[in-house]
Amino acid sequence: MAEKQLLICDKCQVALEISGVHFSYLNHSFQAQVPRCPNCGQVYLTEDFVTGRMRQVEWELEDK
Amino acid sequence: MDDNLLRQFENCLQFEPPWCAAACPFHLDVREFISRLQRGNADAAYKVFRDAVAFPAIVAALCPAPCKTACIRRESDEAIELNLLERACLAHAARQEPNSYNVPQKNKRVAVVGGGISGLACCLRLAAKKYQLTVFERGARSGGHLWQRLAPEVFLAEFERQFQFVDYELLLNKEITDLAALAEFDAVYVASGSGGADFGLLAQGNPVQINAKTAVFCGGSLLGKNTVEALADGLTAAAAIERYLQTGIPQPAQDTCATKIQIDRAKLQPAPRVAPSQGYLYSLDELVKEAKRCLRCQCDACRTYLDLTAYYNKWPLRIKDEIQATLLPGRADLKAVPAKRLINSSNLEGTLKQVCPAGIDIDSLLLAARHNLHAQGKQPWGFHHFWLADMAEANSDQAALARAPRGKTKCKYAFFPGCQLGASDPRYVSVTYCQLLRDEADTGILLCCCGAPANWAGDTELHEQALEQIRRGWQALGQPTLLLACPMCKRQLRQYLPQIPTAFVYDWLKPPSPGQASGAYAVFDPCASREEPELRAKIRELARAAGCSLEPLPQNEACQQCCSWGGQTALANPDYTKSVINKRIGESKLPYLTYCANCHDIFAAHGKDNAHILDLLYAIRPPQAAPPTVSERRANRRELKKQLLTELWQEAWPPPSAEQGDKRPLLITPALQKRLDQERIFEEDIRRVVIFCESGGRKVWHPQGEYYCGYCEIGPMTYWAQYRQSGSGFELLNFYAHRMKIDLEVVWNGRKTVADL
Repeated sequence: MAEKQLLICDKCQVALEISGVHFSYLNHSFQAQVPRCPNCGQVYLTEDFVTGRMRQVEWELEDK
Repeated sequence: MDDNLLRQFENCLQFEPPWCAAACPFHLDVREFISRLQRGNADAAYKVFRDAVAFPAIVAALCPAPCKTACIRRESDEAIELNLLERACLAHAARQEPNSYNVPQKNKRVAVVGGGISGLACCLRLAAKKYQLTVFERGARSGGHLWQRLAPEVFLAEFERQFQFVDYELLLNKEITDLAALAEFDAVYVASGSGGADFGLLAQGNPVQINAKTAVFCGGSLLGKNTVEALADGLTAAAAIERYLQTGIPQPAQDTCATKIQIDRAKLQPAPRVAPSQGYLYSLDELVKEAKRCLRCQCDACRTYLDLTAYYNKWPLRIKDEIQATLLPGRADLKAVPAKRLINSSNLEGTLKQVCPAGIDIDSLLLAARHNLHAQGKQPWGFHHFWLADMAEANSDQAALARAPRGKTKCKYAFFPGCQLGASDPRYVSVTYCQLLRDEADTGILLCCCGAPANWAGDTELHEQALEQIRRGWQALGQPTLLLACPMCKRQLRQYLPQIPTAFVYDWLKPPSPGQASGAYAVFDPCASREEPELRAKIRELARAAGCSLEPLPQNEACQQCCSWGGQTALANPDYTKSVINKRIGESKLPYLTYCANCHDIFAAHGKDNAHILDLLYAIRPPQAAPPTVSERRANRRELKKQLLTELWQEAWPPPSAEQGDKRPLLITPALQKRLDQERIFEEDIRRVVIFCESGGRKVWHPQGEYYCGYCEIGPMTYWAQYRQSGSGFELLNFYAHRMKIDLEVVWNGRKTVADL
C-alpha cells in the first residue's frame, strides 16, 4: 500500500492503520500489509490491490 | 478414471511417419529435413540428412528414391523431388564436417566382415560411439561394389570426410573363412557382399549367437539388397548390435516400412514441380520453392480443428500426459500439476472425436479429469462458481417450473427450453409455448437446467441433484416426451437421462408464412448439433420458409465448433475463451442464424449480428439487439415464470413476501452495469454489499473521495462497493471482487468473536 491516505472506520470513527492481514484461497495463505481499523479490525482493500497483486496470486494458486 | 480413456491414445497417429519416410530405407526424418530446407538452411538440413544416412554424398548420388513412388502429392500433381533436394542440400551446405565427440572408449569389440558400403556404414556408426571396430576385407581395397557404381573420387572423399574423427582398424587382404576366428569379439556383422560367405548363418537366422559371448548379424548385398539398401542395412545392424551389447539379448534389426498415417486430402492443393534451371541441381531459391511444395505430412486434424490444441500449442498426446500428471494424488507443492487450468479450458464439445482418424475422444478424458480433480478437492471453485450459482438460481423456486396444461396433472409432451433460452428473453419461451399449445394442447412445461454446469464443474454430486430435479419433474408430469430447444440439453439428457424420450421443439412448430423474415444469414450450427443432422436440416427449412436466404459457412459446416460457451471456460481462461469467440465470429461477415441461446447471446455480446431461429419465426429480437446482462438474465427467468403462471394458469406469482428488507434504491450507471455484466457480477449482489455495510455500519469513510467503501462475502466470493448516499438511496461509484478470503472476516465484520471460532 504505497499510497498513504486517511481512511476512517465509520463504526469506530478512528483512522485505519497499516497492519498485517491474512488471506486464504485454495488451502494456501497469503499475507499483506493493508489498512485496518485498530479497534474493530475492519479492513480496506483498494481496487488496485485487488485487481493487481491479489488477482495474480489467485491465478498462481489456481495453477498449483 | 476409466482406463479406456487413456488407452485410446495408443491409436494416436501423431508419430506415424509420412509415406515417404516409411518407404525410405533410412527412414529419413523428411518432415524435419524439409522444414530446414523450407527455411533455406541447407547446413541444418544436411545434419538431418547425414545423421540418417551416414554417407550423404553416396546416398544422394545413388538413391533410387522410393519416396517418390510413395509421395501423397502424386494424387494431385507430381511427387516431391526429394532426391534432387538431397543433392542440392549437399551442394549448398557450407558446413559438412562431421562432429568430433569426446566420448570415452568402450570395452566392447565388434568385427565387421566385408569392407563394402554396408560394413563401413555399420563400422562408422559404432566406431563413432567409441566401440572398438575391426573391419576384415578380403580384397586390397575397401568400398566393395561402389567401385562399379560411382566415381571413386566421390565415395573415397566421402569416406575420408566421415571417418576423419573415428578410430577403427581396417585389415585388408584378410579373408575370414571361419567365424571361430572371431570368437573373441563381442559381436560380428557379416556384410560380405553379393555372393559372399554367409558361414551357413542365413539358414539359422539373423542374428545367431555363436558362443556365450558373440552374436553374429548379417546384412547388405549378401541378403540381395541394392547399394543404398545395403548401406541402410549397415546402419540398422549397428543399432541392433548396440542393443545387443547393452542388453545381451540378440534381436533382429528393426526395420518397418509400414505407416498408418492419414492426412486431410483437402491440403493437397496443386503446386507444379520445380524443375532445376541447371541440369540436376537446384539453385537455393529453387530448392526452397520445391521444399515448400512438400506438405510435411503429419496426421494433424487435432491441430487443425481443436481450439484447445491450437491455443496451447500442444498435441493431444502431450495433453494426455499432462492430465495424468495433474491427477496423480499428492500435494501440488510436491509434484507438477501442469494441466489444471488446461483441463478447465476445454469446451468439451467433442470435436476431436469427430475429426480424429483414430476417433480419440479427448473431451471425455478432460471431463473425467474435472470430476477427478473435484473428487480430490483440487478443482479451483473460482473456475465455475458463477455458472453453478446461475444453475442454482435457474433450478430454484424463483425460476423453475413443472406444470401440465391448465386443468390437467399429466401431459403427453412437455416443453423443455433449457435454462438459458428464457434468460435470454422470456418471450422465446412464452411465445413458443403458446404456439405449441395451439397445435398440441396436451403440452406441459418443464423449466429447469439440464445440469451441464455441474457436470462441467466436475461436481458429480451436484450434477446428480440437477438430474434428479429433471427426473422428478418429468415423472410428476406423467413421463411426457420433452420438446427441447437447445441441442446441448439434448446431448446432456441423452447421455445422463436416456430413459426420457426427447424431440426438438422445432419439429413441432408450424412452418412460417413466406415473407415473415428476410435477409441473408449464415447458419451457425452449435457444437451439440453435430449428432443432429435432421435438426440442422430442419432449421434451414424453417429459415428458408420464412423468407431468408442462407449462405454457406464452410468451416462450421465441416466441423460444428463451439461458440466458447461449452465447458464454461471463461472464468478459468478468459484469454482462451476470447480467442475462440473471435475465431467463430470471424468465419463470415454475414449475420449468423443460430438455434442455441448461448451462441446467440455470446455472438451478440461480441458485436456479431445474429438471429435465433425463433426470432425469424416470431420476430422477438432484431439481429442487432444487445443481449441481456447477467442480472437481466436472472430477472428474465423470474419474469418468465411469473408470465406463465399468471397468464396461462391464472395464479398469482410470486407469492407476497413477508420479508421487510431494506428497500432503499441503489443507482448504478449504465457504464457500471456493463462492467458488472462483463465481470459476471449480479447487481443484486452489489446491492447486498451496500445494504450489509449500511445495516452493520461496517464501512470505511474515504474523506478525499467522499465516499464509503465496504465489502461483503457472498457465497465464496468477496465483493467490494464504493458508494455514496444519493437522495433516499445510494449511488454506486465503483466495485470489485476477489476470490481470496479475508481471514477472520467474520470477526472483523462483527458477526462472530474470536471466542466463537
